[in-house]
Amino acid sequence: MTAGNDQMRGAVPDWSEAELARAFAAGRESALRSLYERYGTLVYRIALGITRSVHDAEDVTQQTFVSAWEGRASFNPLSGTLPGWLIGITRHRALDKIRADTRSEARKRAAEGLLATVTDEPERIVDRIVIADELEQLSDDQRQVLELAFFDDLTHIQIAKLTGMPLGTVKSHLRRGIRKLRARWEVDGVFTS
Amino acid sequence: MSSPRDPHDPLHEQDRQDNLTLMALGEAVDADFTRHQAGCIHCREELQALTTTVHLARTRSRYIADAYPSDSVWNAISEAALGKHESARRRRLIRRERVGRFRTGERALAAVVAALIIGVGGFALGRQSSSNSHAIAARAVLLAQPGEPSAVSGTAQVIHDGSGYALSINTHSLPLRNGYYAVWVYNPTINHMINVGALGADGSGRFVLPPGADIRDYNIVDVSAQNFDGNPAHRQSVLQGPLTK
Repeated sequence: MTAGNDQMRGAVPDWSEAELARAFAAGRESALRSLYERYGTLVYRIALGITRSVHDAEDVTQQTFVSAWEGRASFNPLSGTLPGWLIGITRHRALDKIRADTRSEARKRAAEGLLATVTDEPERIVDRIVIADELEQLSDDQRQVLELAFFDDLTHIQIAKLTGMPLGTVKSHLRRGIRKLRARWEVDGVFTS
Repeated sequence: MSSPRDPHDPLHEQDRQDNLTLMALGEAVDADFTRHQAGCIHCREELQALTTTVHLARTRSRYIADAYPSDSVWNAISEAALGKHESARRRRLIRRERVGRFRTGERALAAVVAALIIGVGGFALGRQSSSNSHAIAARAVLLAQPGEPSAVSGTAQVIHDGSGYALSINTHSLPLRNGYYAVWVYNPTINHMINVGALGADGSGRFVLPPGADIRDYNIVDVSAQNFDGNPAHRQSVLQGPLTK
């Protein structure tokens, strides 16, 4: 959640996830706002990835946070993270939305092909978005190095030459950054094996 | 036949991880390690997980990765879950600001400036009237900021005593939290603010205003929720109001 949308900057940046979860469970309205500011973009992107429709993704995002608020007592910190819990609700809502759409005859044929692709691998869509979300939150140096490796296909030696970083530093950023992505994926992803 | 180095020797753990990282990225590593990795179940499993991580990272959708929900989504959530309608004026844009600047967006700032120009004008400060040792030079009604419980409220008075100006704050229903409430005076024209102190446990306080801070310029009073983390930067406004004569 970096440039482009001021609403998504950390509203309560120093609230730990545990504190936010407690405030949310206690029904503090400011915690709902903080929850949205922290995870709203992630939820929206997952909804967008599954429904492939901005309009539907916005509906699903709204439904997810309203459901989360109404069912806040059901969040169990021992069984997962707050974003993981939200992601579960989002997937459920998004898949419902797609299924509901296919009942409309007018859109059925168009949706069928899309539905086949999406329901084959909705988990992978979610996992890609979760990993991309974690990449966004890495330190600037780690993110820069990983992006050069992932999207520009540079070797670690080429990255060192391009950025002027020592080779050891580049390797360290790659090593730690990839492990952070993996760890986040294994915690909040769906299809993690 | 034994390798000169055992990849699982804890002293070489960083090298082992570096090698697996490079392999996951599709780069070549030395033949000794490749041979080891092919026959070692731990390294094979770790490489599999890292390779999949890299693949999922590489195949993200650029469109989705840059997408943000529109403002209307929060409004809809707020209405449906909290029964609160947030008008465009009240909605606050949060920016990760540098120390010394407000966490308010330009829209909120514009609204505040507009209110000052239209409604408040200037006010004269009482000067050197030693008989009037506690003249109230200005007042503010402090309103709960978006996201705060609506029961939160406060008032502020700027008092001129013999030696200068003091800001007296009283608040009601500030939530108990693990942190403190800081008091600021803010200059909207140049977007600067000054911290004058922290509220007491009863939500009130009296603060000396620094002589260089002219309250005709620093004419917004703000109370923020701060953490005990050694970071003095203004975090989140809970109460705010303009000073008037």
